Amino acid sequence: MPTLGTTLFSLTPDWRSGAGTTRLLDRLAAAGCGPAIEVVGHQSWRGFPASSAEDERAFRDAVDRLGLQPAALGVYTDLHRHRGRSLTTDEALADLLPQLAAAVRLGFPLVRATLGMQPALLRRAAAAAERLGVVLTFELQGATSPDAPAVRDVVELQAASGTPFLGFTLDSSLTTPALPHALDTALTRRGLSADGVAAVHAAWAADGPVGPRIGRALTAVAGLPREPELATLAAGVLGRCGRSTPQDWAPVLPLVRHAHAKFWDPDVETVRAPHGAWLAALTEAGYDGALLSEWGGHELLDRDDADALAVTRAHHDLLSTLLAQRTAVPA
Amino acid sequence: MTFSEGTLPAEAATAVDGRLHLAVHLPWYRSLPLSCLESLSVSLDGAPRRVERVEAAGFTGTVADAGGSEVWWDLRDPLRVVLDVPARHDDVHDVTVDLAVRVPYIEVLPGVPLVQRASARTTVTVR
Repeated sequence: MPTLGTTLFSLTPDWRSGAGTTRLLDRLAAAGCGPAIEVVGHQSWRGFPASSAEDERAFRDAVDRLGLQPAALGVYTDLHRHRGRSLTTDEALADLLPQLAAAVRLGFPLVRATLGMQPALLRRAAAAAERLGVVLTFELQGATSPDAPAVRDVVELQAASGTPFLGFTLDSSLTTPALPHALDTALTRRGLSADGVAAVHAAWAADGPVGPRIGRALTAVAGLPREPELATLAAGVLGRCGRSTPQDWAPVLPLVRHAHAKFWDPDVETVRAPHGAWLAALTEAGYDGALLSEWGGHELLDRDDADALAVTRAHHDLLSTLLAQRTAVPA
Repeated sequence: MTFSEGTLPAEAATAVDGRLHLAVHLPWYRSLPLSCLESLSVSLDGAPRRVERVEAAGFTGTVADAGGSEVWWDLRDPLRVVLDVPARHDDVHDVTVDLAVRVPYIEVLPGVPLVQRASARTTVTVR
């Protein structure tokens, strides 16, 4: 059965306010939101992946002291870090390798990377991960479809190599019953009318691929004084609210090595159905990795609207209930 | 806390050598290379003001120069924005900062990176 936990990305408001890694681990453990944890390297340590030995030791000590289980480290290839040109394959690999090495030093058995690595880089990154003994996973989320070329590239490379060090992180945002209420709040606060909000929902619910649906949503915010922010929010959230089902992903599930239960609204009941469905699909596929609560609502709501740790605690209660239902033995 | 919230805190303004400095936080969830700063503009009491330079650990230069820098804009550290505006302690201003940062690992189309745009408006008292 999956091990519950939390990605510390959920505590982004605390990170942005300057909270330190050890303090946040203390708070997370005290709230009972472990034991599994995911950490974003570039969020959690100054100078990552060349973090100080003192910072790395403090992390390992806190994990041991609190009984937490490092499950995944978020790593990135910043392909577009230079204005006007993207990194070469050699440069991108040089960006990634120190992060893989940091994962080993920090005690993470697995890293989560952004889906879409070009095949030449993918092959070299996967080989490097195997040499280091770290599982390289790519995140399936939002509007990604099972037949996307980037998904096929990973599936085919894994099949060809047979390596156990390559797979996917599954994010439950693949299955989103409705756009989050928190998006309505964010759009309204930036000046979008009720009719405009309804138009964004209609665009998301329309038939067809996600690109044109996002384009339709952007017409609803065009010309408004805060259009740049509204467009970023609408496009970003629509792209991360997928409409596929767990059944659509069945052929890929054996390659899932890590999983997120994603939610946006502080009312966790909004995700009872999709999170229950994903828990069922994963356990039936034999998945026994980590299932991490991931709250993204901080991107849409003000700090006074919801406390990140409180909503995470409520989400853990929901996930524990759903997990217990999976393990209950009929009388 | 949205990405705009916290970008320009109420204590962001300081007077340094008679000039107005603003401490602007990164509107994203992780640290980014400073070269990902695409644009930054400031309005003071409703009027656009020229940004003289920006400063991060290991970098001082214009917003355009930042595009060629190799330093990081750490999530914990504000970017210091120096304005061509005289400042005195206890001055009060209505400040709006509009900024755009390139998210270097997310593409909205093949080869086209996401640009995150944020607008923060705060009444500040110069310290």
